[in-house]
Amino acid sequence: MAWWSGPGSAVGSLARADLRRRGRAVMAGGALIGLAAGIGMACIAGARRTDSLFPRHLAATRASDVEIDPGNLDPAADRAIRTLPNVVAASEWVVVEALPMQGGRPVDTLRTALPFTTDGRFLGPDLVSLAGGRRLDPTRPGEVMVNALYARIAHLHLGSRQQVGVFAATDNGAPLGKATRVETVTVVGIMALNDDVISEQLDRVPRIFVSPALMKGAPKSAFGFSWYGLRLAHGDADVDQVVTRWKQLAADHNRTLPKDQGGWLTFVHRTADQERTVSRAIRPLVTSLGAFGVLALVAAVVLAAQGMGRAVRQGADDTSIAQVLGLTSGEATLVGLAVPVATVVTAGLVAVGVAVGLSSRFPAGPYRILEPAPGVQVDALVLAAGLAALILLPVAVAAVVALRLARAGTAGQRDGARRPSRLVAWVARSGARPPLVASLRLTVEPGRGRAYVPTRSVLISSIVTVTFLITTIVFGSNLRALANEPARFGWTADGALLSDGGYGQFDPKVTTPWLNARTDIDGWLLVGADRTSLDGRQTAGVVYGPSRGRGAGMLPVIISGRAPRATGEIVAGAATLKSLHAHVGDAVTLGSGAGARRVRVTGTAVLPALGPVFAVRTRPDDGVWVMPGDRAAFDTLGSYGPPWNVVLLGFTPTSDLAVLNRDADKGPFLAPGTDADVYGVIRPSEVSTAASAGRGQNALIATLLGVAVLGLMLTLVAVVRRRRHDFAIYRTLGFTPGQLRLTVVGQGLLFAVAASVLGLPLGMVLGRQLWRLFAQRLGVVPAPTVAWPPLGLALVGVVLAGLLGALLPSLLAGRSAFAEAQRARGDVRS
Amino acid sequence: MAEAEETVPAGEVLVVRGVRKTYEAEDVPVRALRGADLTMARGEFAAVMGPSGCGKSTLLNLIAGLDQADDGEITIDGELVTGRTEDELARLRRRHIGIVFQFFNLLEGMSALENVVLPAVVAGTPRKRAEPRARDLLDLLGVGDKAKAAPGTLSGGQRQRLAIARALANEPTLLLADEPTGALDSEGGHEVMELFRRLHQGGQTILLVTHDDEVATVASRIVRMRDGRVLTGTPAAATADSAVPAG
Ligand SMILES: Nc1ncnc2c1ncn2[C@@H]1O[C@H](COP(=O)(O)OP(=O)(O)OP(=O)(O)O)[C@@H](O)[C@H]1O
Ligand SMILES: [Mg+2]
Repeated sequence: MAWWSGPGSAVGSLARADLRRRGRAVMAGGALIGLAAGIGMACIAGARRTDSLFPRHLAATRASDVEIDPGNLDPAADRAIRTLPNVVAASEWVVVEALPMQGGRPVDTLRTALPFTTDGRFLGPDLVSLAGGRRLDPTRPGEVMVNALYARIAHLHLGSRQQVGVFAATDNGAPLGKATRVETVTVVGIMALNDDVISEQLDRVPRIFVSPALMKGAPKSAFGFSWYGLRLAHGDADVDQVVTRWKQLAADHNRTLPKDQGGWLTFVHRTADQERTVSRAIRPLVTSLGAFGVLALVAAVVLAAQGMGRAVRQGADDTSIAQVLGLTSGEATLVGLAVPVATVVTAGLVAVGVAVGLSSRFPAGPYRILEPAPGVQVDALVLAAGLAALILLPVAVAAVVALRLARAGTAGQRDGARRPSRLVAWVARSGARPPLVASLRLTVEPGRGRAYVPTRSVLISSIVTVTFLITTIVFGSNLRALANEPARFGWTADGALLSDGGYGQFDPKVTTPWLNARTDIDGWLLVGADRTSLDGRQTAGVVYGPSRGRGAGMLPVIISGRAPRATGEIVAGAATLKSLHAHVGDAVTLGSGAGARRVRVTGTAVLPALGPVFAVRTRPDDGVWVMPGDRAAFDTLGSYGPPWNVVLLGFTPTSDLAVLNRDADKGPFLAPGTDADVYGVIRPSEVSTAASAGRGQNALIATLLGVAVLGLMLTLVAVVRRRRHDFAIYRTLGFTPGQLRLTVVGQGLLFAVAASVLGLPLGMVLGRQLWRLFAQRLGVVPAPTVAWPPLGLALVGVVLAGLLGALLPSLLAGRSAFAEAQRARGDVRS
Repeated sequence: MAEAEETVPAGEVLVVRGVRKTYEAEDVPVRALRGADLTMARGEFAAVMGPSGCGKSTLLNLIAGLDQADDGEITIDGELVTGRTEDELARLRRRHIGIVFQFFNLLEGMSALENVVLPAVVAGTPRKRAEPRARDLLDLLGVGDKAKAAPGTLSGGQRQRLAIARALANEPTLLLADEPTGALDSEGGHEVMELFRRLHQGGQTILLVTHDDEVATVASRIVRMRDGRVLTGTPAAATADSAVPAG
């Protein structure tokens, strides 16, 4: 006899019958698990896509490897740059004196708009990314591209028209003389520049790109500062060589010039540095997205594994009858696996659909507009790994359970002695009210076969849910604390005063009287920030000078060791030290060349982000705090920057940023033709991103509670339906419908309370630990806080969820009919 | 099975010899069977009676291979039941055993007909032959019109008749029934007993457990049990009609 025509065919028809009978449960369970898994997979794939976004964007835009700023457009500099070693391609951007006009006059509100043009090559080596429309045609004077910020301020959109005037020269945005040419231009593209999405809020500048054709024939004075983007033969590896050569060329050239003439500048921006900055800024988002995705996927897999074990147990009656009829344990196992396999395969299909469907919503965050290939994306790796976890693990669990049940053989069809729970017996003896005892019995005694309810595993998943809930809340309150307490990201001042876009200087002789005279400033501290290096690695250095009032306390926040006290001592950011493999107490070399010296590291600190100061930037965990006596180790550049180029400020309750800004623009410390800016607390972009990722937290909490309520409700409905015989007996024993309802509500509460008692401490430990890790990676002060009010609220929410989940099932229980239960007994051995 | 052939006289369908079974319940051993002996000839219809807890169901379960004996020997049609693995027992049941339970144990996801077809298919009968025979059985048992019905929609008596039809589907050497009328009213009980009587007339060997004296009168022989032992294990003289087996 062939197996497939005999027992095999019986296995087939039993499996089909099982699927028919439980088809709805298969579809519903599969859809629910698949949805959770799909969201998880979508988030993981989304995190990966967001993480790889910037490198992909750079590749897609054929970005340069290094940017060199030689100063004002100069044909000799242009030639020199293009002949630097290993330069594969060069493109330049130039500020031109082209201003937006209205009614024949330049628009004053758009004074901050910096019109750019190029020789047309930004359409070549350095492609500008587009968020809409197309790139302008460099041969047509009437086409412009604007960034989103410019479009918003000027109320423009694709196809809008605007007048642009070309001037011989301007003084800080105010045109000198009459326009040499006026053109009506059309917005053909909305561009997305790296600065638009990845930099601090203060770097975001409204920008308009005009066509090189518009500038044809314009006087030399209409061209201003220039930037060169260079693509090199061996990428980042060639940068050092190119920069060294350029510094040499500039020094040689500048020696030939009279003393007061500026000459070629040597500002350098390395693309690899920018990539690191961006990856830091994006990291919190990627981390939280990935963590959420993993959490959702793990939850789905656990749910599936648990559910599949349960499905096998619920079918155990039928498979053991089939064994009585002559199926072997192996064949019975196959029958038992039909529903689990069908369910996880359904779940897998749904998950892939959801994951692919949601993929067009990623990359997440403001970076999205840089995506070179937006839309649906199939992340084969994530899908394959997710599916493997989603299908293999639950099927393995189901197989083990099915095999164990089948091995136990036909015992299911004998009257086995079921051992009652000792806990229930003890509670009953202690004189508790009958509905409570009944609740407890239904909660801890799982029942068998079709009466089987996975109460224990639901209890465990409730505990896990509450743990995740508390973890989320603890983590979230720390995230909020980070956003609300600037000291956590190194900002101990209320604001900062900068001049000339961060390139100016403050002479203490004129600056301090001005500061002291103001009643809306109750403390200040002079700061010098500049480029320097530690053991050859470039970083930002900060020196703290004279102060008054609260200003003396506006220093970086020490997180290990102590502050520097004397010349020869430094404190560094944690990431800076780590990259040097140095520790507190070690000696390192500060600076390079003539000013270099050995100094000792006395501690690590969280440093305030000091905006774009003199083209350098401190980061919470990157930078070095240097004593004034070691200032010679800074790379000072002529009349720019230090000794003092930032003033940290303490505000009074009546301080007004607008007033301060207006007054600072007339400050005695300003060089002619420059202006000043007063900022509030400057948030590093990774902190802003983290805060915005934290706003998704409420959705996560709501989801978790929703899942908890749904899971509880399904379980209790199952309890009521599968145990209707028990309920019928309770009824014959004199329980009123009200007491039956109470029994179920009591069960809901038992789940909630048990889950809270264990989930609260577990969640708190987990949340604090997670935060410490996250804060360390972010480079902010890691000390976790615990906010009790939201935790209390969450526990109330859990109890309410328990009640809510019990509501519908309790109504069902109150209605449980005795006759129906008796009839059911014919099929269910209870 | 050489040793079995030596010990089992021809024509004896069931031999139970010195079977012991002890359950461990709540730390106290319960001696359900303390050396039970029983022999049944082909075509016999025996009714097992005895006080509650004397081991009737245990004996039946051991014969069906649903449970393992601690000691002693059971053979069915010359094949040893004791000392087999679960899978060997399953194959043995395909050939030799049909069981009727007090609480029916029907498969809820399948129609009445499918419930009856299944054991035959498991035993290796091609579906083409199993189905007509299943219909015949349903007709024979008076539930022919319920072939397509779900078991849950039938009355208790109808369900039990369906269960009997299923037990007969694989043409078993031995039909076992544990209080088949226990869950039925007296009318339903009568119907079912009448069925057993007719099956016996057709030559089916039947071993049935009951508490009901009236039910027992249908049998050709009464087997009394007490405290895990069989008191009268030899065939009664009254079995004139041990004719050719039904299958
Ligand atoms: N799975 C088991 N675990 C523990 N003890 C058991 C088990 N099955 C049966 N017993 C005990 O073995 C003894 C015999 O049980 P059995 O079910 O065979 O009795 P019975 O004669 O069928 O009784 P009844 O007429 O009440 O059905 C009883 O004392 C019973 O409690
Ligand atoms: Mg019994």
